[in-house]
Amino acid sequence: MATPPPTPKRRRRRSLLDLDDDLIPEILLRLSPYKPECLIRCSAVCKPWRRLLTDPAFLRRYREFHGAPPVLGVLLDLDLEHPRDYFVARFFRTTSFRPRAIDHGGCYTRDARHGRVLFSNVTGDEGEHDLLVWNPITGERWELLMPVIPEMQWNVTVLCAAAAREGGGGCDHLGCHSEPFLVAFVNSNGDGTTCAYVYSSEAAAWSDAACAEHPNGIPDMDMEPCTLVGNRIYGLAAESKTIVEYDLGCRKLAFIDRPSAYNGRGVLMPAMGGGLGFAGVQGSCLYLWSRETGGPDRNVAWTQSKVLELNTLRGQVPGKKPTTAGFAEGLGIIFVKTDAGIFAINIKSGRVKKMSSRSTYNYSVIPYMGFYTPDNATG
Amino acid sequence: MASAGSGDEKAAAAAMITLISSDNEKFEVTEATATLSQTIRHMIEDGCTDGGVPLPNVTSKILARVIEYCKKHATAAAGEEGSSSSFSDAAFLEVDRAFLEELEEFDDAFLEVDRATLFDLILAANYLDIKGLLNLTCQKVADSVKGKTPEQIREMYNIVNDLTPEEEAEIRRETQWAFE
Repeated sequence: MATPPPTPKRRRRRSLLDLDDDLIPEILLRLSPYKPECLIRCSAVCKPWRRLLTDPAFLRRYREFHGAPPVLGVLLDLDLEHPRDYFVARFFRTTSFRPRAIDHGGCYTRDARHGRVLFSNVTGDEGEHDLLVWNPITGERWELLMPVIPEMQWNVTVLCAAAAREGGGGCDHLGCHSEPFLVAFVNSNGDGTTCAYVYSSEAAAWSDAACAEHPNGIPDMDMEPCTLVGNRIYGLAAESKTIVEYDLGCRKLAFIDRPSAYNGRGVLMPAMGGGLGFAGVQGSCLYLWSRETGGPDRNVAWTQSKVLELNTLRGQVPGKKPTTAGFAEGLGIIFVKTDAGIFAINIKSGRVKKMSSRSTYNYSVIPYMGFYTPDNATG
Repeated sequence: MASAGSGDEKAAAAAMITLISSDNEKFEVTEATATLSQTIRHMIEDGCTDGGVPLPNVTSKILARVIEYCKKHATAAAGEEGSSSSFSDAAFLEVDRAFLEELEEFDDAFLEVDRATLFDLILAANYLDIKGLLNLTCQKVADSVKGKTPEQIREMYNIVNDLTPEEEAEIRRETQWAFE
């Protein structure tokens, strides 16, 4: 008998796997990183999809295709009434992704970058360490002691180790959450000096101190998240009056004034067009400034890059006493706090999204950004 | 916009391309429309389009849809070039925005097809190397799995489950949250 024509049967129920091999990646590449459950569920469909969705080369392409990692959650420090006087750093989900641990008791969130979160342990509930680095995706933790016992206020930040090298060390920071990391610690001393120390996870040790003296006195560090621009870290000091710059490459500290036209508290961020950005709220307006970094001229001026009237944005920022509370790197999102809650403002579109209606949070809003891909779910 | 359109037509009259589907149907299109396909663009550059371009992998039904897409997007490309080179005033940008919205509406309506047609459009977009159409159609499939369980995805796309029960159990154990 001649071969029966298989075409009519196949035409009725065509399988997606009938597409050429190079087309399946084109489809799976377009699964939204804001829907991590979709990636996981697709990886549980069949072997070819599973292989692809756990393949390092495909996942590199996936991350590059989407660019900035999604915000998987937001870390907020909460004072809990029960039990009394107990506080936790809590991971609030903004996607379906749920880390194994939601709360870190007795901890304050200090920073999150390149797939890791940095806490300081205040009560010593979780052992003797002072600092805790946590990877919410893999669940890994590293406990560190501070390099010195701080005399005054201090600031601490976590970053991928490659970021310390000139030009970012060839890392795009989209998938480096399991690579070596650094913790930079900057503190103000009673004698008027500011000192920086860097912990390397590879060396499992702190560097020697790099110190500098502010010309006009003691810039006591503000305990708010730092920002990274190129291979320099910027942190606020003296209630946002001064900005402390630490160059990870040449291990030098320097001081920068905040925009002279502004006299309130603000947040730092990488500026949209490059350089350092500063955002602050005065009255009902959100002001954005930017400034070049890394040039020989230390006194380069700030340029006002944008002013957003909070009452006329697409969406509402209700409540009194608005203040800046954080930013999401690469997404152009600034968090603003009022007595009515926490709001995310997209600088480009002017859109506002309400994050939380609780107004009792005293501290910064720290977004956790990263790609949750099925290779993380393989035991 | 109107002047750009008539200029386009004048240029096109000089350069029409004939596309021939697998079932031997002939389609006359402008070069601007045809060159949205990188495959055809290369053939034109190599001067091998005399007597028509045979497309043995594309049926007339699918080719008609592909041409519909290319016509719409070729006009859009011409509009974009005009705006970036000579216009920047707000009024013109407003027109541009309206045009982009119209294009989005066109794309949405274009994708209202059954799965078999969608697969054929993906295959044609890949074969003809039309980036925009490939992106659009692949995105449609990617979006269609939102909120679906692995079983529903297999059912929807007729995929055989060849994972071992152990492999499935491992995924569910490690990422329970993805199945809630």
